[in-house]
Amino acid sequence: MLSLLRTLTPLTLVAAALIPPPGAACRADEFADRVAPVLAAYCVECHEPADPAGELDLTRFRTELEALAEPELWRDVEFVLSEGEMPPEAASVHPTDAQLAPLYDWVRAHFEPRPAKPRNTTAGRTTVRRLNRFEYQNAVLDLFGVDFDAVHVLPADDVGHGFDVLGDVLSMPPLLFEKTFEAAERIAAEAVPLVGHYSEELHAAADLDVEGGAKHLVGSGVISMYSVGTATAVVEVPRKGEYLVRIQAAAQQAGPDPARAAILIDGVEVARLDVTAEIDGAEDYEIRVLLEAGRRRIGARFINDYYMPDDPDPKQRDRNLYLANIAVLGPTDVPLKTPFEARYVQGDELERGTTGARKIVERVAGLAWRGPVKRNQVAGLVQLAPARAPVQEQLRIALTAILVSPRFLYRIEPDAEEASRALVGTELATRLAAFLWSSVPDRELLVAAENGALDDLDGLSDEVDRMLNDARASRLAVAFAGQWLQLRRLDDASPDPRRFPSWSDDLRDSMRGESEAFFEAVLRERRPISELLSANFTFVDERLAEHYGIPGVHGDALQRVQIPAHLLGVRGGILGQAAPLVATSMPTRTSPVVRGKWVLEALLATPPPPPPPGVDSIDASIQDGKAASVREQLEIHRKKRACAVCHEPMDGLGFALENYGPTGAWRETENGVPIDTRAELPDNVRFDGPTGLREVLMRDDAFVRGLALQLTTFALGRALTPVDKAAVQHLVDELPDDADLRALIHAVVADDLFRQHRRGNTE
Amino acid sequence: MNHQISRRTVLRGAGATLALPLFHSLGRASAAPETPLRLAFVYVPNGAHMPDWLPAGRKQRKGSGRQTLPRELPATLRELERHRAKLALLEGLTVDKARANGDGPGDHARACAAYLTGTQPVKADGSVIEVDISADQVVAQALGDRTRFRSLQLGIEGGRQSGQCDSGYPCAYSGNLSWASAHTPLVHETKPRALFDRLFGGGLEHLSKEDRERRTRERKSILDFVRRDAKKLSRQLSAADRRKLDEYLTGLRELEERIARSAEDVDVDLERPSGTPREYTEHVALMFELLALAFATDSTRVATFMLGNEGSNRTYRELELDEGHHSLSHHGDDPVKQAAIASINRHHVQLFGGFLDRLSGLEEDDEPLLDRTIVIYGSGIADGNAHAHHDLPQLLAGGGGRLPQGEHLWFDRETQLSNFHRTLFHTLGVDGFEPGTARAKRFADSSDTLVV
Repeated sequence: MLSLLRTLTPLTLVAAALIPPPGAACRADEFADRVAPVLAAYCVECHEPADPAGELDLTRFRTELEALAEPELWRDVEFVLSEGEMPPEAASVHPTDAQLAPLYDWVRAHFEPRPAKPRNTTAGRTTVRRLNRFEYQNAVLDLFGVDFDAVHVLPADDVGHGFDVLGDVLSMPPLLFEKTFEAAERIAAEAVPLVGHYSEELHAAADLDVEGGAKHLVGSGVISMYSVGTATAVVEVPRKGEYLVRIQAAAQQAGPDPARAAILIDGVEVARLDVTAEIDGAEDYEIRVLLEAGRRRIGARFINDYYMPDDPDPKQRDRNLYLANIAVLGPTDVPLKTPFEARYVQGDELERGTTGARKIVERVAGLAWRGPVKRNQVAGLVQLAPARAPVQEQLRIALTAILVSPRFLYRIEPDAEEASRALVGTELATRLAAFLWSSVPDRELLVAAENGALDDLDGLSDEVDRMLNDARASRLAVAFAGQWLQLRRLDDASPDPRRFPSWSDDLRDSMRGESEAFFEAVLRERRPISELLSANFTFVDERLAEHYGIPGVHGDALQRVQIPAHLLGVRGGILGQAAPLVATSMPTRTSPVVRGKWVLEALLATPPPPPPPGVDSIDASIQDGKAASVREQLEIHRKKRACAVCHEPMDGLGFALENYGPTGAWRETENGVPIDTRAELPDNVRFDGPTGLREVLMRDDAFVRGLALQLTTFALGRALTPVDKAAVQHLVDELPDDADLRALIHAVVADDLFRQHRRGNTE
Repeated sequence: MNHQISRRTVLRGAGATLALPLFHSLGRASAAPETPLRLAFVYVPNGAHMPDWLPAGRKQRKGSGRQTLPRELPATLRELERHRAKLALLEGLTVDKARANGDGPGDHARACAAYLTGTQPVKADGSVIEVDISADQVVAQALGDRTRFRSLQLGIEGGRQSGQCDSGYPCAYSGNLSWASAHTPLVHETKPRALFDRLFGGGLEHLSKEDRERRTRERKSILDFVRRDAKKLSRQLSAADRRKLDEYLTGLRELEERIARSAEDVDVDLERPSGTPREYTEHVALMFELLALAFATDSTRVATFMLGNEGSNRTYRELELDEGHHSLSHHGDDPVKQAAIASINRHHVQLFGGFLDRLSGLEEDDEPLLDRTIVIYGSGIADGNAHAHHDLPQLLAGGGGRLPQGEHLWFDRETQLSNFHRTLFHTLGVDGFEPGTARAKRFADSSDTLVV
């Protein structure tokens, strides 16, 4: 079926590729005499000058000389005619081969046959690439235990071929550099805190309970205490120890004394503080207290209310206390280790000045930069801090530089003399970590790489298994599956709230969660790839279960459920999951065109050729609120235009999914008309509904091949060349029947594509 | 305490109290005596409903010419009636490089990528990005060293994160107006809070002067270290790889410049935005407000602002529309859809009017900031249905008489927008773009500096 979707190769105008034979102009013009009439009879209906289909005006060649200047074009013409791709079904006249013979003869007489092999005969090359923001966030968490929200702080990454991992496309605009630098400062400060090692819990006024003469000032983040009143924070104290209790407060002063606050621990007063700050500048007031482990109630009470409404000085009439927050810091007696210290500091290195700092920095840089670090680099990093700075300061500044360095931010694979070389262990480890974990290698992976364990296929396979068994492999579901299925488009989806009152952001999140959890389950449970299309289980929470009509699911947590018998074939597998169905719909209606395109582009990795300029409106031509179904409208429009050749297969794939409405809910009718999900492919294969579509997709490994192509693009971080694609096809052919997802991942990793680096241009 | 309570006022309200004399001492140590001029490009996606944009009688306008804006402004521009004396409507400008020119479909990606670059973006199957420096960056690179930020890029929609963006073009083309170089799109800031922090925070204001200086030294030494290392790395790389490190080094250099220039932090009495408003209207208004303040504090003199990424299919529920913008723009001559497009156009222009109000209200040396700002509002597409890239909607505002005001100008067919960009370069004082000197300095596909 896919042969029909093959694009016409772009009509590259290779002028004068073929020099006309001497005297050509004097000869009888075979083109004008015999070929042009064939074109006029069968092609010019659409390929006419005013609005040429496919931007190809076939009337513009008047003489053989003109025609001969574009050999590529005529090879294409011959190809699409002989393959039956043209004229489209919608054309009014359909010529026989005999009627086309003059054209065939002329083309074959003048041009070499189309070369059997693709012209690009080299495998592709991966350009140096930077960590994208998802990888950056994961790397920082994995390396330092610092939870930095890069996905919301850093700008969106550039996407090419559907993935945000392409070296050629990921750029580093100055704004990103600036934000990356600031991120490094923040991360380093959190990893290596300078001021002790206690935790800090800040309880803003809005989160405090009030009682007595106190109230929240709406919208201000402040509690006003106009009479004796108390504000209380509930704090989970991790262990017994000395803590700092700090309040941020100010007062409207009046009377002889400053405003006074009592600090209460579980209702018992432990201290009194004079709040001298005036109302225009809150200040911090703190005390040290001993706290027992467990849940403690920390209160602040205004105890000296003062009210003299008759005082001649208006400023002396009323004393009020204002409280902004209560903070609990500690324990202050014994420092806790940060994850950074736990991982990178050995023995008393923190007490051994620069010598200790060097040892620590060497360890950190070795991991963050994915390989051994030279002594002078370590020394340079430690020397960034001013002379005689404390060790923590040295570490913090060195860590900032490590995180800003291109050695952390970029994946660099230097070229060799040869056209291609095997990756060394640490490079391979880096590719693996990016592919399977969206992160950087951990210590174990780097050690394996440095010991040569990745150099043979068995060792490599063992390491892939370890990585896939690790919790971090869940990120493959977010990064790969999320982009493969184009689930990020779900964020833009906005079903019309009037027609779909049950739509909510929570439901959107549940949908995304289902698709990710499902992919992860297929991966972790070694399920066959075919189950991605048809499974008897899925993941839903109460909200999504209701949307699907699955009974007996309660609560907000996604849970694994068996698909009930009456929904088998409807749910289970990605075609019945709401996330992609919503992501490919319009606010008020479905779009079979977009869904068909999604099947071709995402699932089969065979994006349909784009529509010619100015006519990309077949979908937009659909009117809302018409009596006719979307399908009926599309059918009418398709007949009118020269779009049928591409739209027939594309829309057909989408029609099969028409039972799923714009929110992915099942429906039997549209505007009162029963939905027709029958479709036919150009090679006369008929199918019906999602079940039929699944069978079509599984034919000839089309779906497995599509997945393999997408997975390889993601794994390599680059677009695939025809040669690469041939390699992927080979890899798919070698897979056992009904292979599982892990087998495919193993096959991609074991392939030379993944384990080799190609040389780039040196000029 | 009162401090916090009084700042409950929203940013827009607080902005009104902003007193400009406060800023006169700022960042002008190297003060050039010339009047500072600002340049802003405000971009709207998916073209415009042209019958509501241009004055009637298009057929009669031949060649080039000019006349006073008609008494009755075209429907879309009526939203700007109060600013009519400061407006010039430019008709007949073309971005040829947004056309297919053999590259097939993808008009939205091209319209955006070519709009300020006047260069055909490389298609290459979505795996490469290559266009050229954009007009705003020509100005930023020539004059940007006078302010803390060479330029700012603002937007509402982040980069699209899934699938193909437009017919095989990478998403970078339809989401970026500004290009520092052929391969470096300048990604725009969409979050008001992050923009505020960049402009007015810096994160160091809580530190003492001594600590700030220490921190600045520390930052410089870190940047020094990584630059040396990056350069060493770069020497071992092939051309394509080196390009990536060059982007890195460019970013590094810009940050160094900023650190050197931001010894004195700008202090505005302004509430830090608490987040990104959910409502489009509020979001745009807040970004415009921050842009106005960036100009007022002379933090930058060059900016671009995309009210939507090109091809945006945003649903304007606030206008009672329930179909996406891009979908609607392919109206197929359906009057209902055309009316919807016209209402989106008016909506955008109305928001733009708020920005002009603000620039008129702020003063510098007793002159309205609008007179010291050149704002170009427009799109790289004319009618969205046909994806036309000629007769583009282009509106000029401000400029204080250095450029036409209160007029409607039309130009010969196929006059390139890049010719008008040369005019802007010349007006802003970038050397080498005097009329009649197109050969002296090339820019994109311009043939000469347009005389207006």
